[in-house]
Amino acid sequence: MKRIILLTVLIFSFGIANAHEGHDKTPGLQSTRPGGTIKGTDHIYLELVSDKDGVKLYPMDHDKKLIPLSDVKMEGKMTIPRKNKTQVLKFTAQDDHFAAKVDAKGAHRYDLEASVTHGGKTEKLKFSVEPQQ
Amino acid sequence: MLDHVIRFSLTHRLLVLTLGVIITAYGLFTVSQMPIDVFPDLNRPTVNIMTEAAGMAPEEVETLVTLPLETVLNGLPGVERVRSTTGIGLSVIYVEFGWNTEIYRNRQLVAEKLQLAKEKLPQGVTPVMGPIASIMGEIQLIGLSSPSGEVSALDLRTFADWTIRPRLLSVPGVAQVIAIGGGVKQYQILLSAEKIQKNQLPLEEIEKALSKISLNTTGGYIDLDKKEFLIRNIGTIKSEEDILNSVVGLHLGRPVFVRDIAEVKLGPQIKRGDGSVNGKPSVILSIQKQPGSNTVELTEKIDAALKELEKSLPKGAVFHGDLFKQAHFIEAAVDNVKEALRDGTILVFIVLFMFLLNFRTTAITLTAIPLSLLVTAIVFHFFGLSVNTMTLGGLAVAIGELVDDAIVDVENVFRRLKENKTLESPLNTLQVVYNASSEVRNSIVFATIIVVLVFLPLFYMSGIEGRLFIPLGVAYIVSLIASLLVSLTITPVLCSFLLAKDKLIDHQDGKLVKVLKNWDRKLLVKSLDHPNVVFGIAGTLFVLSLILIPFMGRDFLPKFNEGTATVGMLAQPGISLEESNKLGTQAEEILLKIPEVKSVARRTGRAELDEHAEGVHSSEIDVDFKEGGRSRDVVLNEMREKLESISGVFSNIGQPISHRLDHLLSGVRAQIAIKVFGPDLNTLRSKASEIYKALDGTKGLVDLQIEQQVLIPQVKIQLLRDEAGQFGMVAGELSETLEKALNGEVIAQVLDQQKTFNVYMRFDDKSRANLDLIKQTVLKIMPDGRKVTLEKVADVFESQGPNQINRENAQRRIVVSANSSGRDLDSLVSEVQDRIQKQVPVPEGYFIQYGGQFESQKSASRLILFLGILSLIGIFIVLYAHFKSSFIALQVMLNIPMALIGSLVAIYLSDRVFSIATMVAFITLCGIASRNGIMMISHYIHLMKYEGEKFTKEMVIRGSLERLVPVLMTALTAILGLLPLVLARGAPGKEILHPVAVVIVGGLLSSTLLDMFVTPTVFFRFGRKSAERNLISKEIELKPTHH
Repeated sequence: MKRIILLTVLIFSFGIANAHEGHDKTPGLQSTRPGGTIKGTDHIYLELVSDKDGVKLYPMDHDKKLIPLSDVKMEGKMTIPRKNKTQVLKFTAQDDHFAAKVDAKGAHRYDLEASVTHGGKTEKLKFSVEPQQ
Repeated sequence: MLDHVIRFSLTHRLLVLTLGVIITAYGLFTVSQMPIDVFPDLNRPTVNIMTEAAGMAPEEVETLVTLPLETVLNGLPGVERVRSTTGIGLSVIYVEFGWNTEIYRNRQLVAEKLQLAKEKLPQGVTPVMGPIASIMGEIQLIGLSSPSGEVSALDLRTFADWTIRPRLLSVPGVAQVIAIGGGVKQYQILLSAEKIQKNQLPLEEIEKALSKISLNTTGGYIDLDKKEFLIRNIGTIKSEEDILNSVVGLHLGRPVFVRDIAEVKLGPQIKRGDGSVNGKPSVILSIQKQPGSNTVELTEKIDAALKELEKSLPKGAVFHGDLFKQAHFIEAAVDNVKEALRDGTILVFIVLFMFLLNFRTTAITLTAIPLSLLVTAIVFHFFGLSVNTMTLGGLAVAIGELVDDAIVDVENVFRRLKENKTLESPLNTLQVVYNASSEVRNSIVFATIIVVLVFLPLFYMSGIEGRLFIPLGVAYIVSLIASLLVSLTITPVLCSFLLAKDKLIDHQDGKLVKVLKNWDRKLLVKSLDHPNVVFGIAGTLFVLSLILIPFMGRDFLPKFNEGTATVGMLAQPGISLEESNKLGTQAEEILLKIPEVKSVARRTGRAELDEHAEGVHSSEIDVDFKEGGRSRDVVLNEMREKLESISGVFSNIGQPISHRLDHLLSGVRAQIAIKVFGPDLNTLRSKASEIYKALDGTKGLVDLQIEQQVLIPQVKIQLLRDEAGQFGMVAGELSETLEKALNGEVIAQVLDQQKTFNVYMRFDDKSRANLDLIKQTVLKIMPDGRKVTLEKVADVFESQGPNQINRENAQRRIVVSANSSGRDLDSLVSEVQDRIQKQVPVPEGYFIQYGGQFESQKSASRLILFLGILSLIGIFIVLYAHFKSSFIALQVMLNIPMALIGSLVAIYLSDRVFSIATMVAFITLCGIASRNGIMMISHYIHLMKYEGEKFTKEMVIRGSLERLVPVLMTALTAILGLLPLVLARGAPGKEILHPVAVVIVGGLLSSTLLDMFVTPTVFFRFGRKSAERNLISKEIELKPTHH
């Protein structure tokens, strides 16, 4: 009898799968994994995640896979529109991304120009960052 | 009491027969009146609240609309969960109430709260409750197109909105008609920013003047010539001309007309969705029925109404009435199940005749089927249940068992009548029938009680499983109880009338029965001499069958075969409607090239009034197929392959009803759902990403994905208070002005006979075509003539924002979901929780909850385990009450593992999938399998008690052989009754019933075959003490007369 009970439990503990295929999949889903804004060139993609203290940049290849930071050099500057104040940012490599502290001086947004060097090629990408979003 | 019933029936034979005839007549009448539907009522009492906030970004809609509404709705009595989806310009809130609450009461409570909340919402934003339509309520899709292009898209939509829709809504049973495509006609005043500047008119003045462009008022009453006249001040506009000639202000003392600053034209309202039939732009109307109405009848009424409307169609317009009809599936499904019932009955008849070789006994036994079914229909009528695939399925599963009680009774009566004839002084026929019926009544009643008992846990199944299977259980149990009553009343009466003739009683065993008894005798002799071999064989078979379990898959419900397909197509969120339409048309053209495809109907984005908060990136294509052609699987695979060629989209192919069932299951459809709650969307996305990384590569974890909450492009106009202040502009007013200029506003209505069309104003496309033009928009002209343009008071820039925001219980949330594969869920969930705890730090104000189907599975497992144990204890007590021996009770229950052997093998040989349907079948099987054991062991005891037999090998052989015919007959009738369902894999309507039938047939085969020699062997080897104790049982009982 125990076996029957166990079998019943076993059957119930078997998972219930989706009744319908691929309901939650959509293009663009994988590309925003770190939850930020993606911009790219023919050569490289950068995903930007910002908060009120600074920015994080994730370098990725065309399959949206993270590139080892040792292969990438990152420089950048920020400009607050209408005030024309430019500040050079110092990026440090952390785990799988570059991080830099930014003082937006209370502005609702600033323009970030990232200069990324990978595979001997240097490219510039511009982001509009809203630190208080 | 049961003897009284039998005695009463036999002494009032005409009354019983008359009652039988009345029940038959009333039952037939009831059946003809019963509503027909595809499934039982699956609707969870949910109230949907839709609030349109045109043009607002999801963040704003969330703050201004969703949040205040959720705040008042949370905490309503009976509310179990409040979910919401906030998209562009739309908030949809789902207030989910407990299953046992009443929908009208729920709506009343929600309506009261909405009144309270309305004050807190932005002006002009009104929350609306969705109609009481079931999720399975979309019963028909109709297309309206103009292949020649003679009728414009606007006129098509006007005809759909103002002629078709009201007509269909007047059909009783129709809850809602939602139109998509074409274009909702409106008069558009498209202001030119340049001309406004030239005439130096501020936007607010124009807006003020236009808001009074079309007004009717009353002048009260006037008495003239002894009569009372109503005075009407008529100022409504009737044409584009009227609008063009309206004054909007003064420039240098000269009146400025609308024609001086704007273009007026008829155009479509801003579209958030579109429709297409066979690749051509069309209007698609989706018809939803009210819960409880008869889909098939309603579809007929709708078709009749459409036929009338067809005559008044604009010239050049055509109807596409057959894009999707749920009635087709229902008719096919119900017809298929009816066919299974019919074929089952025929097969049962053949088996009965083969064994009994007698028309009269066969006819008496068969009367149980229609009578039981009609009694069930009457019970259904009183409980308000409908005819659907599940209730019919319950009857189809029971069909073979409905004759069981009658078989046992008829067989015993027949045998006793034969014996009676050989006596020196035979008893009266009525007395023999009474004695024989009374003799087996206990076994019949106990067997039925056990079947009912094992089904009871099913009634505690919650959610959609419960909703689906409880009606099946009710149908099954009611029909079995009805068959029990028939076997105690009508069967003995018919036996007394039809089996009394001498000639009949002379009838001998047929050749088949003789051969079978001969084989069984040899088998029994060998088994009883070698009990250990028998036990070894049974044990090994059981263990081997258990080994099959890991090789089986699992599914929630079996796949349906609805005859139509639904292609869900998702493009990158943020795509424009125009581009999404192009991709959709491309998909339609690809599908139409497949020879089996008859028609395609596409709905992209969201229709006005629709409660689905779909973005314009989402399309749903309903595909109808021609009769014949290649198999559906091949066609679906070709569709899948061809759709993959469209780049930038993800397509999935499902079916309309399955798709809706899917929506119904829950907000999250995965086994494991990790929900992150917190205030900031960026942090939520980032945490979801960290969870993804932490879980990626976990053994046994598949389909890992983050919920679709992505960033889409936005143009932001950040108002700069300092700069605006310098021009004396208040930020709030400025924001309102910009809304009117860029998003537009409905300012009046134009009457055209019974129809009303909106008058809408906003900047023309030239003034808002790009960011530079928007920046140059003149907002104010200063007294010194300086123009204040937008760029002077605001920062206009491109940015990104979320496509939608999902909330649950008043908190923002994002879900990371996954399924398990090849690993038990408990250990997987533990590892998932462990990994997240170690690798994902949660900031203050954020928290993680684990949910998904694993949670409900876990609680369901616990509940079913508990109820299963209770049910087994119940069976044991019933058996103990009957046999007064725990050993015998356990021995009867031994049939259950013997049945499991066959059912596991049968599943392995067929679909290799465990689903809720197979679970239900296992439970059913426990009851059916126990019956054989009861019949067999009761008879051994009867032989010892009343026929002078001792506990010997001969007695066991005699008892087994005497029971062989009824046992084989009951098993074979049950098996053959279900055979039409076993052979109908994937046929519409039988999808859920097929696995049920497979399990029962497999189980019955194994339990009946093993029962023939395992039960006698176990009884003979271990049952002596128990049997003898049973004989000397002191319980007082009223014995029937015997010789």
